[in-house]
Amino acid sequence: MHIDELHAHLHDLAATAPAADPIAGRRATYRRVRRQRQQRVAAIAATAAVVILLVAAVGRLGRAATDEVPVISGPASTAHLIPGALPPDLIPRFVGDLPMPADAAQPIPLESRTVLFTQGSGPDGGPGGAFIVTIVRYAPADMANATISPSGYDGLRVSLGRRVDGFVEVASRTLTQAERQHIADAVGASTAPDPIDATPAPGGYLRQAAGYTVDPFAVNYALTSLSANGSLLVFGGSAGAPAGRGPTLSIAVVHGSPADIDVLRTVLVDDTPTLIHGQDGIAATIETGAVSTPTGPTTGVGTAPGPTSAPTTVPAPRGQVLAWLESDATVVIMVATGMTADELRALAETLQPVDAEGWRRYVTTTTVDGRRAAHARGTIGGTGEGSSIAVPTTEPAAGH
Amino acid sequence: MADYEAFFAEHYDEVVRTLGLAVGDRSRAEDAAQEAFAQAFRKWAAVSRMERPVGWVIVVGMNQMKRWLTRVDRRERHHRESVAGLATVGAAGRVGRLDELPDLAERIATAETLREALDRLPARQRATVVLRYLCDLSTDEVARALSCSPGTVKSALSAGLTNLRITLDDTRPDTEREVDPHAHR
Repeated sequence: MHIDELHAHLHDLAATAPAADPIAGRRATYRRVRRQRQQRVAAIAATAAVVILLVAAVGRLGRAATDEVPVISGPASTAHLIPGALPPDLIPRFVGDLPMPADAAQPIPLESRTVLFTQGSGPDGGPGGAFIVTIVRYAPADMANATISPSGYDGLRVSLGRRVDGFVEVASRTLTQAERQHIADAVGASTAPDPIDATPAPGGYLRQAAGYTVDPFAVNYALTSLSANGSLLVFGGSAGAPAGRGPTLSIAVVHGSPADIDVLRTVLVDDTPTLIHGQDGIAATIETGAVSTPTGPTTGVGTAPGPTSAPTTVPAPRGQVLAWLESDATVVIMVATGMTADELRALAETLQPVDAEGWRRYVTTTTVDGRRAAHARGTIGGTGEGSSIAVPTTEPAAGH
Repeated sequence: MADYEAFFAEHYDEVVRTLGLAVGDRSRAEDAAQEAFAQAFRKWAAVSRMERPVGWVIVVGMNQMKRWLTRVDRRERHHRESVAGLATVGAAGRVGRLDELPDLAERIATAETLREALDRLPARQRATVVLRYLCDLSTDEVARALSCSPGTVKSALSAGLTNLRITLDDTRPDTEREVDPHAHR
């Protein structure tokens, strides 16, 4: 009993101390987590460099009188993240590596390049604003029958231009639709070695950083180029669900940089800084605009192999976006429709890193349209229609 | 990591207060608590399965301060010999026993009195008393937290309680001692 009293007195004494600031504490703690991660990565990189140098030195010693210099190259490794338990109405539509394979049923961009133009100091534009120009290159055969909807995608704040070797996407939350279209057409018509040089930037806009992974017009609002290095997971309703109904979710984990997050902000709305997985990131919404279905000549960029019936416009769901730099050079972009910001954040918290073997196991055991994801390659949405160039749609099974 | 977030929200304040009371230095305690929570984040898969994760965080937090604690302890040891009446660990055999605790509890009049008494304890004794009686850590856990043996913990605990009693006696008004020792219980 008396020990209890001492405990109670100590407890009272502790309670008289000023309360700790949990927000500041949380930030400071996550800063430590990030710093420790960076230190670990740096230590591993230093160790790897020493090992590589030693191996190279031993190799040189072993090769008598040759002057070959070993060249070490290859894609940077990108972490794989997989979600925990998902709601039952989120069915896997695509699970696989990026870039998608060259033999994919769906035309895949050969290359995607995004350049940022800003007035002021950042993509949120300060007083002036910002826009990005993305050039997405496709194989000539894929471009032969591709078409562009004249209506554009104003909800996304993206205007499209066409080139002989691909498409031009101009995205901005500060330029008008006419200004965007003017830029898209000019870059599309340019024959300059670097078409970006032909960008008729409005007064005061200056060319800034280049982000290589963001594609504002990518399939399923993934907001990530399908030619990026990494992985993509797309979840949605069943194939028979009406377009624009039910939740969708895409999780892109790609090799990138903090600049990608800034570039991404040009197509987002109401973005606010936040912490995700202990990392600095942004939470935002995306205006997905009106959605037309079924497929036809007016569905946007595509070869329109489907029926030519008049499209039915359905209200576009407001998308939720979370984006952050998960670790050194790994950008994660989660885009969801049909769910709240809190629901998306809860799903983000379930993401777990897996090693190469864990990722392989996940891909081979996930079922997409009755097939293992590993064999359902090349079609996001898995309908097999597969001849159209990637366009955003809120219904993954719509075949784009 | 949603459960980590919940764990952090629930226990951060508690850990800072506890470590602060254990070492008497609030900013150092906050620093140690953040480091301990950062380590918990890294090892959350294992920590979350522990019977009492917050105990682990407190132990790790105290461990963060062990160098500083050792330095303070060493400094205090030089002064301690000249301070009459303060029991030292291992000095002159038994210097305090848990069965004498009732006397101690009766002497604690207010939180402020106890704080003054704690402030006068050597750093290691103070930390031992707080970890053992506020956090309910076992002797082994306290030993891990302070990077010493369980025997040292027992000695420090015994000496700490004795010193608390002495200090509380010193700070109590004479009238209370003579008339009614239970007046402020």
